[in-house]
Amino acid sequence: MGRIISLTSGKGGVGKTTIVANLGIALAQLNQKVLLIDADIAMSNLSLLFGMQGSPITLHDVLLGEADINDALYDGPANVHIIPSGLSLESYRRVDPERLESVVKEISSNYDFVLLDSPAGIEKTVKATLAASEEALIVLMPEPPSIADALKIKFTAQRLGCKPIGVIVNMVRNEPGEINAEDIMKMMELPLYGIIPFDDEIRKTFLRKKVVPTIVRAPHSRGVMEIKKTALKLVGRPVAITQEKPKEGFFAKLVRIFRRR
Amino acid sequence: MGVRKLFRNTIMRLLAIEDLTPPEEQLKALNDLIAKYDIKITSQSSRRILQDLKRRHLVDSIIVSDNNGNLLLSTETNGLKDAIIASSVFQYATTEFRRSNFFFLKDNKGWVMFFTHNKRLFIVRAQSNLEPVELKALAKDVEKYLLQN
Repeated sequence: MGRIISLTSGKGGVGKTTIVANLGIALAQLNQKVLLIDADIAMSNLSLLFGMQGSPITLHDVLLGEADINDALYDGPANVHIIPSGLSLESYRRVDPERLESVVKEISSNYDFVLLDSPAGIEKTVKATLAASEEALIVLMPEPPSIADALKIKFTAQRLGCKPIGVIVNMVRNEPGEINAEDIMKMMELPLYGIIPFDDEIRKTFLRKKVVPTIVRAPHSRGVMEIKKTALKLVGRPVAITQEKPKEGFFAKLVRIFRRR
Repeated sequence: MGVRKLFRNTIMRLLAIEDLTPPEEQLKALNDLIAKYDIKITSQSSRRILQDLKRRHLVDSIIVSDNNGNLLLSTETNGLKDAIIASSVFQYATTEFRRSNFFFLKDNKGWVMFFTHNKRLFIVRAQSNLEPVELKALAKDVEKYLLQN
């Protein structure tokens, strides 16, 4: 059976969906068999990122018991398989998210990695996603509200029997005031699986006519290069996850130079 | 005004004199959060483990009985009485609603949740109702820490 990992956060807008998409493709490029599941059954942003908003059979149909899981599988870049979610609010209201656990277990044996794009928050669908996963990677931004929500989701995951394995610090700008990744690691008591810099290429993903994950369009962008390191760490290859030094102002630089002398 | 603001912002950036440091008050609040909810179950004492499980799963009481109402464990002193009542209610409820495994009752103290797991009846009280996935996880945790010993 493959590893079933939720990418979760508590707080919305921290970049879970972007990381799931790019990380999934990065793992596939390392010859791993990868399935991505859009477990955000209300918002379905992963489906939008892969242009699957019009898919005839979705996770909604599977969770409603109206379709087989194998009929909801679609091919993505680099041979990644994707199960999109539906956009319909009517079917979302009828879906029982607790069926996700049995659905995921049924199909996970065909893959090395099953990555679930978890909804934000701490409500029913999030708990169902965590309960369906064996491991959780917590995505956060280097600021207190994001870390507070990440802590809550860590405790929730532990409570539900899903093992938090690490944190991915996203949208790092190396500005003064940001909380250092090492401090986040200590606070979360979890190893770092990625320090992803703020990357304009990733930010512009949904601003282009043709929406594709950044790893396809700009495979050497700063953010993508760091996500590739996360993939290497997940497959057990030795990789250093380190933070760049914070940016210094002109005056601070001058002071440092004079202090040295 | 625009030029002034631009000049001010440029100077602030060049000199790096913006007050940008990690906010101490908020970081302290995060440490308080960790202290309250990061519950590691390391005790050897069954009583202590049960109290830790209550805190971890955010519930007020946990009672486990067999289907005949024989008490297996309880976080409360009146667990035996609750176990007998709960098993009777559960047996009645399952005759009326045969396909149901979880029953939720609301009383003036909060919620009482009944469900079976591995042929054991769990009775959980809490201020707010838990999802079935949470109750299943609670049952697994109780079994992991206590019933195997």
